[in-house]
Amino acid sequence: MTHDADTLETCATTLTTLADRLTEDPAVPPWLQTAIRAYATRCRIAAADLTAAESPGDLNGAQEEGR
Amino acid sequence: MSGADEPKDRRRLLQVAAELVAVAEQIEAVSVRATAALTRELRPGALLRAVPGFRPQRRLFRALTRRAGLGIAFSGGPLGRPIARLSGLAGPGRLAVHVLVLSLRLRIAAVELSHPEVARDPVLRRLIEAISQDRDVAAARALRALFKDRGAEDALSAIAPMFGEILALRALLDENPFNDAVGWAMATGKCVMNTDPILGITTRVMSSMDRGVGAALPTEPTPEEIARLRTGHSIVAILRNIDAIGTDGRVLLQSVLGPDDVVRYVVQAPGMRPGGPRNDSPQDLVGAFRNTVLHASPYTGALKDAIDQFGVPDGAEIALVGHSAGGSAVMNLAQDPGFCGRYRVTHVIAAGSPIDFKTPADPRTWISSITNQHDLIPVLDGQGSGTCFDLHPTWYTVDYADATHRFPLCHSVAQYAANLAGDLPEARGHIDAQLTPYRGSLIRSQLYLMLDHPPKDPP
Repeated sequence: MTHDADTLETCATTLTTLADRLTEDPAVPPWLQTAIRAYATRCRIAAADLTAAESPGDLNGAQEEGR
Repeated sequence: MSGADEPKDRRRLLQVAAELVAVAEQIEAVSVRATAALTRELRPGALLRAVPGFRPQRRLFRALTRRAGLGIAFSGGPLGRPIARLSGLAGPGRLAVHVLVLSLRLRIAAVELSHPEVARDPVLRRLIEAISQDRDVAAARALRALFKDRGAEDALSAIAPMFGEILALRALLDENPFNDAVGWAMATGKCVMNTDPILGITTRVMSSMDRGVGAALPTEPTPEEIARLRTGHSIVAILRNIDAIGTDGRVLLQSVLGPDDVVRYVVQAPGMRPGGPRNDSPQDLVGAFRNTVLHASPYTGALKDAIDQFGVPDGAEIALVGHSAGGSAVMNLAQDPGFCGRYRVTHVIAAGSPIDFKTPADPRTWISSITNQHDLIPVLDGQGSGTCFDLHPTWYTVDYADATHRFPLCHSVAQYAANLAGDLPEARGHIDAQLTPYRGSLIRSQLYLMLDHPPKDPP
């Protein structure tokens, strides 16, 4: 799962870089950047979820419940 | 934006769309692996180890269901497949699919740059927005309005340039789980559209109705046809020959003495024969499907028989040219290693044909695909003018839009010939230059009637 979390982090970075690259590009539709950044955020959250699934955490799982 | 910027802007948007596809595929691969990991954790041994908190299972379940993360992302394997079927591929907020949908929306935006008439059309805009936002009722209403306002011909013509993207969006976002895989395949440019993207019925069912080994019967042209047939040494002449012989189940073979005194052969194959879905000719509707999704068909068998009967010697150079289903059939011949081992297929030229997922057996074969962006037929393999994939970097692709914007008129071989003759001088010149070895004096012309089965009483 660590490898998969890294993959998702890379996806998030790719999407963020893409959104930055498209700034002020007149051909880009207005909805694109917002959507790309939102999906980059979701990739990071998913990466954190997979990291948590891999880590030992506390015995009662309180760490995950608290989020 | 100036007109000169349009191709550059379009290419840039399509490049971004392709990058989004790569990200979607990586996210999907993670979803598949996470589902497999959860499946392992649900085995009795793993469950016993995990009691009393079932922490690994709960955390993986959370990762695969969190709307702010991967969404409902179960995928693949004995656990992922049934859940994905139940929830639909798009699931509630499934991240991989949403990134792919974003790529498709961007491809539609890229097509709009070269087809401003789409942006100006309020009904079409409503349709695209409704589909992109997964609003089924609104999409159905917009589609109904489009067909009611414009009639079927104009409606199909209007959506043709982004037909593949609209179909893929529908397949990914609708409630039908049986078309999900084809939606994903179309959107990621991975394989031929072997399932109907609306209902999810496999096209192999229809293809399997196309039976027979294929056979050819020599036949004579009418006096009018003799007057119209020319030596097939230029693309316009060849397409006009195909137009002259029509779609009544015949193909034309010609031998030409080239400028180097070498005899070469030109196969000229028309498209589908009109009429019922299945008739005694391989050029029927079921044959057209089969030629698109499979590698061999009665049509290719009949073409081989015609080439054999014409007396083409082993090792001879052959140019294969086809229109519509004829283009798919000749491309099937070109990807047959046995055929390419026997003859040297120098050129394949397909006009208005769905051949994106076909690959020649001989890498030396020069291939040209000519498609009108308002022609729906080349999109039948799932890839149209909005594709963001460079599936064939070595092919000579002519993808253009003419002023008529009318389907099915723009699909006719006469229209393709007229476009090449009048509107596309550069493409015509390039293709004709490639055909230089075939520029010479005509030695022989022969028509063959294509049949599904060899005749019981051959003449």
